[in-house]
Amino acid sequence: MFEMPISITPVVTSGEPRVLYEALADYGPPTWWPGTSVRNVVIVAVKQSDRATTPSNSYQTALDDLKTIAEQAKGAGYPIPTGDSIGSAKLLLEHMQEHPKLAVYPCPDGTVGVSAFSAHSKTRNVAAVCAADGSVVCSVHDEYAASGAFSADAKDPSMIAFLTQAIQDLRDARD
Amino acid sequence: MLVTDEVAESEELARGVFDSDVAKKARKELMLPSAFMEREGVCTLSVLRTSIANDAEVVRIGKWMARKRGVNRTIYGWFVVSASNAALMGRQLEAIKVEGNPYHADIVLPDEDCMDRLRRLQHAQSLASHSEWREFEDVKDHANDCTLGHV
Repeated sequence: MFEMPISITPVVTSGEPRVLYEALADYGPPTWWPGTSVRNVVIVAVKQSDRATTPSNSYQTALDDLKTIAEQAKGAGYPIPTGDSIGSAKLLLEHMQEHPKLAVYPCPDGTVGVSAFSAHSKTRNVAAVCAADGSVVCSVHDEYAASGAFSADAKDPSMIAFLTQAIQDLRDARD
Repeated sequence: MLVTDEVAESEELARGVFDSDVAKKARKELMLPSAFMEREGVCTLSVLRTSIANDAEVVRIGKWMARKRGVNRTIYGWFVVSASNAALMGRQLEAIKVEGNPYHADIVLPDEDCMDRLRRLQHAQSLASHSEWREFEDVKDHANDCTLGHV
């Protein structure tokens, strides 16, 4: 007996493979749940937007670091980050939580930095700093130079969209 | 070794790291841009011209830099960047001898970028991305190695 994950849309059918494929066009890769015979196949598909995220260990470490960011800043002799800057950093991290190489850190100007690094390239990374008022500047660095940037409030959907795309590109880049 | 008045392209420049968390992450190849950031309004980044200093001087100056920062401060290592990469994005390199450190140089951000948070981040990101981590004790093994090049 299989246990179904949360947030799934079960599709039970005995249709042709082509029909099934078209019916699932809006879904991610299906998980096949074999029934008692080949004529009774249960396909469980999860919409990409409903897919449960798997936080990386790096995300947990970054969250832990964020909890002590004020002490870290004090220890380094930097201005103590504001609650708004810490809140923005937390929000950004939530949208990066599946990425395997993350870091959060205090900066000498009192901002909180959040970085995501490529698993394949030393020079590819995404960095953001969260200012005292909660605003964010985010920059993408490819192999040799800055290749994109965005400035907005951390809660601004366009900032989240930019960041999400930048992280996806970082994961996809293999060179 | 002769201390020239200009930083040569073939030199390597080392930014001291006095924060144990920055060092800890660098050892895992997470090169934090914050190593190349300064307080708001400061447009110069102090570095040491390690490739023209001898081993003993690099160690002495590193410890001296830590002491200047306060009692019980430690230098953990360096973010080492080639002069050619340090000069990307319009950054200027100025060899400026200071008391106790004839191998001091400044990486100077362009004026128009100095007060712009995004541009400061991009400079820091560029410098960190092109840096290599070097433990403090290991500097003497590389002090005369000028072959860092474009990494």
